[in-house]
Amino acid sequence: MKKFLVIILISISFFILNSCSDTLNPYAPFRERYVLSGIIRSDTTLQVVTLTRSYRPSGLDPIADTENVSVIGAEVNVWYNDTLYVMRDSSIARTDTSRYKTNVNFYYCNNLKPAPNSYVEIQALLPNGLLLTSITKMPDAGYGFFDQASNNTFDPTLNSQIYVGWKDLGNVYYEPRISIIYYQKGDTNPKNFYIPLSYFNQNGKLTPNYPQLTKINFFTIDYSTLNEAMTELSGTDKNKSDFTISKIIVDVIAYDENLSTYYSSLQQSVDGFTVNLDAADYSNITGGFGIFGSYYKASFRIDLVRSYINSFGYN
Amino acid sequence: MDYKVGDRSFPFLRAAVIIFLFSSSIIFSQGRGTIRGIVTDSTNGEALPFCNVVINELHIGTLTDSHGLYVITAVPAPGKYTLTVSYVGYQAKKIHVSVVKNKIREINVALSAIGIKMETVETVGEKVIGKNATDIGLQRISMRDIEMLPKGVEADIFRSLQYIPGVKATGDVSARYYVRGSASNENLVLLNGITIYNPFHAFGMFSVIDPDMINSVEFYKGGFTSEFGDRLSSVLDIITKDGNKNSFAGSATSSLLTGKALFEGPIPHGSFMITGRKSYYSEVLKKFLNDKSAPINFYDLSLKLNYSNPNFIKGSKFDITSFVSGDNLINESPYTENMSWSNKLLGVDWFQLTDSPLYFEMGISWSNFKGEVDPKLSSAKPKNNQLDDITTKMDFNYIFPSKDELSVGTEIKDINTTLYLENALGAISNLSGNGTSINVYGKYKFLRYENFGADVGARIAAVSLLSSNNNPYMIQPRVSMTYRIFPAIALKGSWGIYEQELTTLSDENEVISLFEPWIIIPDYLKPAGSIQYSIGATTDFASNISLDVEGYYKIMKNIPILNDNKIASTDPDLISATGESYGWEFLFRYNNSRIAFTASYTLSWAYNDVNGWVYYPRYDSRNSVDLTLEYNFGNNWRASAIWVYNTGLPFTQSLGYYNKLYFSDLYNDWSIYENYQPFQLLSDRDLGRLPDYHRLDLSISKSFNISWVKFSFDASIINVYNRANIFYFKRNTGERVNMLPFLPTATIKMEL
Repeated sequence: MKKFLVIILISISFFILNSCSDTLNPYAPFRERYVLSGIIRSDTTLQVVTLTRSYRPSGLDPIADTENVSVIGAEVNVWYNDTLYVMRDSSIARTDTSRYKTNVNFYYCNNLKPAPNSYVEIQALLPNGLLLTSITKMPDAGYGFFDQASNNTFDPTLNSQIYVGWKDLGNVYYEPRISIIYYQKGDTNPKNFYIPLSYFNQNGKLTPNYPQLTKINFFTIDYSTLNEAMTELSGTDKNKSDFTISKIIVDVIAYDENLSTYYSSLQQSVDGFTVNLDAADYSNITGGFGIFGSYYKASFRIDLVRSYINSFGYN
Repeated sequence: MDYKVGDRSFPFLRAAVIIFLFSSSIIFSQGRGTIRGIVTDSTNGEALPFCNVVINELHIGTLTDSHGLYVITAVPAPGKYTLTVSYVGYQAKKIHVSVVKNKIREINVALSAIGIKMETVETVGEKVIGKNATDIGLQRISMRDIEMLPKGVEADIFRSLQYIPGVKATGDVSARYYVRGSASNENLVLLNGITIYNPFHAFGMFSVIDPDMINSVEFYKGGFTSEFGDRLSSVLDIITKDGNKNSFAGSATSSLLTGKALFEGPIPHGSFMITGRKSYYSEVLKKFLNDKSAPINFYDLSLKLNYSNPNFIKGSKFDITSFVSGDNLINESPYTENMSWSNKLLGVDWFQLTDSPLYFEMGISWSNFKGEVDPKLSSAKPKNNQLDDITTKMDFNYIFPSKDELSVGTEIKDINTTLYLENALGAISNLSGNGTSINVYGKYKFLRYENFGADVGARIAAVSLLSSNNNPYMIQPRVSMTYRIFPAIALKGSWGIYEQELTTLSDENEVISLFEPWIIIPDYLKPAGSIQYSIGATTDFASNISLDVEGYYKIMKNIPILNDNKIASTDPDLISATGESYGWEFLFRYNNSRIAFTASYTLSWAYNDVNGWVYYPRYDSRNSVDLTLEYNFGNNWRASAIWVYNTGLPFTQSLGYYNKLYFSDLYNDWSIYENYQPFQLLSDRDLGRLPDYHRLDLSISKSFNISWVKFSFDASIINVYNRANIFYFKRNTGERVNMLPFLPTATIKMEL
């Protein structure tokens, strides 16, 4: 028995003395991959895409790798309505230089503004001969997008809330934004004050709950929320009559299906405790990774009755 | 070569069927009687399961079951015998018994616990029990086994399972276990016969079962017989204490994580036990969560009542079980979601002995699981899952004079699940379902030959939970055999077909998972099934040394796997996979009055195949070693040490990174230029291997009395030599996350 105990003790001692951590190379053999990222917009003629390559950091931390990974010298062509739009490469200074010090490289064209429900196709021929392709269909968010039952005038004597609805485009995301457009005395430029969907009490303080990306195709704003927003608009400025309220503008950005799926794939492990070693990596780029999507921005006007505006002291 | 009935060396099954047809009447006509009874603890009347009951003169005996019941049939009668009843930690008792021909002799036995001042534990009596027991794959776990393990933060039954050969864990953090190459949702957990669907607290770190309420644990890691169903891999059958039948008693325990209390006492013709546990300090869990604080808040509450009145129904016992557990993760910030999980169980059970060697058990139970994610104002997706299971069971057991046993039973389950969720790619699913299953089982245990035993049976899924008539496993035959080839060596084997119709939506890539909803397998898939083979040998070279060897081979079909590529709502949520696992397990045990040493080794392989892609599941470890040493210093000082070694688990290697476009607000024009974050590109699944895992834990405990209060103090050190066992690499930062570091803990228990 003594021998047995000695063997056990020697075994334990061996491991105590050799209790270092193992080093592990987590990498498989590297093969360069390419990434195209672009979102075609309906609210501008300037369309931008980026082309980058994959990389392997020398250590474990990818942020430590600071070499510019942009792909320069590619031929990037866009087709829309049987018309070819050639994208040119350019660069712009970064606002955040904590990782990369070089400019941001991108490809752009400045004469393309697709209509709703139309197709836009892209081909990027890389300097090494690899071809990345993709296609997007602009969301059908043009004329008739907003629900006719939406309030285009708000009168607190008639309405207890503002309702705005729009066309259901399927399993896609919408990004609504609601603004009060106003002018301040001495300034001819209009200003925006964003209205939240509601306010909630956080530590005794009213905190705004602004609209987020959603798949729900309507929103409502209670009278009390609008009142609070109208009150907050002037801030600490006691001269309310210096503010002239113009209208409420509701903007809704509708994502196409690819962009919606891509956005969903970004929303993972948000709870901070679930640990997932893999992650959905949605891409609609043939030959590489990334996203080629589109969105359509639509706007809706709501007028406020003058008596309601004046009740806050505004013009 | 000719063999006679009753020849102890009878080696072959080939004549068993013929002999069975004639032997019952032959044996009975020789003049036999039966001894039957219930073994209890003399101080509290608690049934003692798995006691040895031996007739000394005949060298025959049996083990008590979970009710403390033993039945020894085919005792030559008339005759006078000495019955020895023994159990670890109790004073053995010898009783003189007269057996009368064709009669059942009721001998109830109350054993006295050995006083705490005794320095040694009495060893179990003769090795005459279970020579022909068909128990391949079965492990019985005593509370002493659990208490002797280093506790970490909290003693835990599930963590103690991880030291059994064939059972794997994927990390120190989780109490989830994987048996013989199968996923954790293929393990059945029963509390007094009622299924617990989410038996975990705190992200799976601990089980919901408070060890203080447990009376017996049987763990089948494969080859389980036909009374168990609807799981492919293992069965953990936990029976709670009845409660003190003689006097009121209580205990209170405090650890760094929870406070708990137990109160028990007699009621007219019965007893009750109530236990409660509540977490009060979650900071200690930071070590488990990579130094993150989580507002973990959990509780569990258990009540058991039993009633046994011979004036009401002779030989009857009624049990009522009620159990509630809950976990709440409530975040103060409105931008961080809340989560909650709960289990609720309620069951009534009627156990009945009759004047013949027939006993039966009937029960009805309700098991409810709820899980909810409330996103509040966060971008988390709302999830809500509820499962209701109403089960009615009937079991009848008849013991023939030949010692053979016949068991038949039915199990009717009515299952209702609701689940609405949105997956990672934004596809919305309604996975709600309901159904009723009716299972009938029967089995015949050949125990008439001293050196040969066989359990032959089948489970028939007469009505399936799945509404489509699509069940390839309607008939599930199961066979388990034992043949003692030499007095010290028994050969064992089993074969069976198993079926499962419920599953969780588990993401195999999640090493810590908060939400695993239960659903009925959708109709477009077939029920999951497996065919299992196992062989083994048990050797008892001396009264205190044993070596068990088991090998297994398992084929799994129609395993439901989460469809990672579901994009449209019409795409299937689950796809079907196949699996295969095999291995060898070795378990060596030595014990004497002061030392108990256990060594186990497992060599195993596991594979999954999804659409032709074959990979190792993340719980596949090729070699595992567990060494456990317990030492009794005397004067109520005990110490234990456990060293665990596993070869590295599979992981998916990185191919590098690419910069992925992230955005949450497309009103911001700048997103396309600069909103990029590194995103890891992964190689083929699970082709890499993490470094080997090993860890040493030490524990020391002391019991002492102050006046009429008994105190138990336990101090443990987890990971004594601070081995940096890797848990995983963070996806986006590449940071290495290790498992538990050097961690000293302590608990104190006070019993009144």
